Amino acid sequence: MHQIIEKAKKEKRSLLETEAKELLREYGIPVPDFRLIENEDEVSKITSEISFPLVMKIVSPDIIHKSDAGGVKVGIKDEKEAKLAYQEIIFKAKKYNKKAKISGVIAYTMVPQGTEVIVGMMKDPHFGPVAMFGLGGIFVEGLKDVSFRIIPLEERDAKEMITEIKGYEILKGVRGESTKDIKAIRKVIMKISQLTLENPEINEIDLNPIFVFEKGLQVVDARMIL
Amino acid sequence: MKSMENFFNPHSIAIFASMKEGKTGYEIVKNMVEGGFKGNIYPVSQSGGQIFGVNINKDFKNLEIDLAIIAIPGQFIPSLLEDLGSRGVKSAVIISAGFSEVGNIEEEKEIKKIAEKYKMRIIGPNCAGIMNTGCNLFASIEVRALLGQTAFITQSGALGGAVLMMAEELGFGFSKFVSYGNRCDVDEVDLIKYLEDDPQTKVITLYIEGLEEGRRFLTQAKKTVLKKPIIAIKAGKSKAGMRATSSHTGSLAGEDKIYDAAFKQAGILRVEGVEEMFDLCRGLIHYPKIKGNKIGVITNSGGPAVLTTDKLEELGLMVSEPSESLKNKLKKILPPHVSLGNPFDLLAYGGAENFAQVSKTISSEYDVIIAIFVPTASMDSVEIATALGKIKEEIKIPIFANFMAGRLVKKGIEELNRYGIPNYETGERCAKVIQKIILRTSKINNFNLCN
Repeated sequence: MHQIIEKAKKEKRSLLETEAKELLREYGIPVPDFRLIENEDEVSKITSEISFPLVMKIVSPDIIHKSDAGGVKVGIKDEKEAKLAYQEIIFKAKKYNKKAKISGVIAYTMVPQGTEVIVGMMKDPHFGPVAMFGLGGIFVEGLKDVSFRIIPLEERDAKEMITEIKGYEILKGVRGESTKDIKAIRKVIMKISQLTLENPEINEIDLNPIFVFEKGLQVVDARMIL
Repeated sequence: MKSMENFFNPHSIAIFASMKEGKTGYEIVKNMVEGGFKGNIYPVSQSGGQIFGVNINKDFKNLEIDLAIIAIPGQFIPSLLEDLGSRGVKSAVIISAGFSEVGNIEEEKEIKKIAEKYKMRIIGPNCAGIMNTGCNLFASIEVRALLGQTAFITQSGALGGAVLMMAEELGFGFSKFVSYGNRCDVDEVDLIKYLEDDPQTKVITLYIEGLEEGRRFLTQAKKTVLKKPIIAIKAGKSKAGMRATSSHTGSLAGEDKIYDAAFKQAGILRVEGVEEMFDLCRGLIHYPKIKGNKIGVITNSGGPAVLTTDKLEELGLMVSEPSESLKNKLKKILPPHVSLGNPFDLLAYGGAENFAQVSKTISSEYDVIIAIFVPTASMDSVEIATALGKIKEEIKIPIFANFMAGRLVKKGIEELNRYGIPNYETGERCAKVIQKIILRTSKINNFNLCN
């Protein structure tokens, strides 16, 4: 069992955002450079290691809806703002849920807006692990324009998952927009298949959103449920 | 696999059921005798006497039994199975109901246990029986299927019966029919595996309400589709995802979407319902593969051709224009005024000779031909059908027909059948069939490439 998973299991919780992203990084899935800040004194050191602007978010096994808890700050430009953001996030989190166990605050370099997609995994009682792909934002929420395949996937499955959604045209580029890096998406889907098979303790995965660019992509938020 | 073989090609079959008129046993024996089963038929019942000229056995001590058909009340089934098992009977179909479908899970488990003990295979319980038209085996309460090349496997016995009745009306036959009910032992996967090598079966059709072992099914289906097409009707499309989940992915994954994905992944062709199933079977039996998506439409009438073309294009198929050299060839054989574009509208000149010539000429540039014909006072549908039938043997690409309509073209359609040209009442239905066959072809080509 992967040590990240073993630790989470012992503490009877799912993976923290930092842990999920760590795992993704091990599998070669691109995530923005991130650090976990565990106390206020670490802010200076850590912000000197990664480049601004930053996104900072609460990391707590007991807070799932981070925005509701006032636990998300974006566009942080310097060390001073980072300190203030840290204090505010922790303060609001404690107010939101007094009993919440707080692991710290994740800080990562803000990624420019790309085309939002979502890649996920869930387990079906009869088919076992299933991979999902869709365009993010309103496409997923409003139109449920998503595709599924049973894991393990073959290359052709990943390819079909992408081409089969209605929003595929958007990835190919409409109204003069450039074509997005479809090959990179395919790679993420295949890696999720592999990660799922090698870590059977994980029951659900949401990589949402993933920002896709003309070249490459970045997983902005990740959840893994044990 | 001997036990599976016993289900479909038994030398002797014993029927355990009430033989009173109108009861299950009576109906089965009637089907077996009237259907002309060549092996031994042994009705077994305490009543004794005779039924349809066959003696009813009071016990089965001296009988050699390959297949037992059981329709006695549920509580007597375990002891009967013990008896049969200890005497070496390897295959049984349990028609009796009242098991897991009504919550009686214990008794069904007991049956399964006895079957395992004697290595006996069981179809059912709570099913409508099985048929193999190839050897006149009609061990079922349903109407006897006509001889054909499609195997039909159904979870619902009632729907199975209805499909057989509809098929009879259409003159559509089956190779095998299996109603597997609660599938306490033999399931879809075992049946698909058996049918994969059944020489009489060209197409496998399934009616599924739910799968227990989805992954096992997927693995088997992926192998089988390389040999023969599988068509599935999956009930329960409207059921929304009802699982407990905390992720976004989980909340979006309705049961039906997972089935849809699994079918696509396995190369199974999913159809909406029974009508589409028949349509597709009739196409696949003659044309299991279509190698490209360029469709040539030949017609003697504008309206139906436009509807067909619209549907073909909506489905992503190409009704492409002929090349200049092909146009020149057509010019030489056709009267003036006739359109040289696709659809090839022969207008009132559309006689048998023209249909045949144009089919032959365009076959070099297209992957499929759809011949649309609406009879006129001077033109007989049989002649057109014969001409198309003869040309079909000459050219290498599939020909589909859309003869319109009803009794005006009844004789013509019979003639098309003789030559193995599937006819559809509308071009739209024909287009859907072609699209699915092309889809299957590209899928299995893809599978083969990857293997």
